[in-house]
Amino acid sequence: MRTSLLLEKHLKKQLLEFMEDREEPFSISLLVNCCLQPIPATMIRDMLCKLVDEGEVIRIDDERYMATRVLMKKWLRQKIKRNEEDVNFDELEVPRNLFKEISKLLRERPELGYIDESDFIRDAIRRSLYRR
Amino acid sequence: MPKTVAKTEAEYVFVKIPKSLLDEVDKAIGKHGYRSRTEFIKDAIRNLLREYGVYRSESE
Repeated sequence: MRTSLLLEKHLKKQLLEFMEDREEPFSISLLVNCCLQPIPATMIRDMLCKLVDEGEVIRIDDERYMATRVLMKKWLRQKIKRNEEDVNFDELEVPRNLFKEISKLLRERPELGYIDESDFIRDAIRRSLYRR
Repeated sequence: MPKTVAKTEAEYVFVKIPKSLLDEVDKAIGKHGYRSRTEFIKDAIRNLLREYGVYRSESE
């Protein structure tokens, strides 16, 4: 019983590692073919179902699966890229002495929550616009 | 001419700001008596620095 549980745990770990290395969807037959040791397809299918239930793997259609982590990474990469493309930036000149004052304030008071000087300047502009 | 370039490089830092925000600034400049975008932004920065208790003299 204990051996069986250990084997199951080992298989689960190995399958997950293999799946998280694949950027594209995969099928059960691919998993069976890629196993170094002969493992019955039913065992792999059962493990895959367990991983789907646990949220580690997503079933895309009747045949194809993908690791949730890989899918999330792909989605986030695309989202970040889209956001960067959506915002057009322009360069603005700021007096160096004012910029230094901002840098000093951000160093001394990180609790204010500004990411960098540009973040502070954007907030200053917004406050100034909305105050009027 | 070279003097102006040298002065700009030494005294100014270039910061990237979303164009949409700068468009709003451009609209506000005329309405509120500012002569330029830079003047508006300097004033906005000084105001926020003052809010956080950083003293800035009016002479700058």
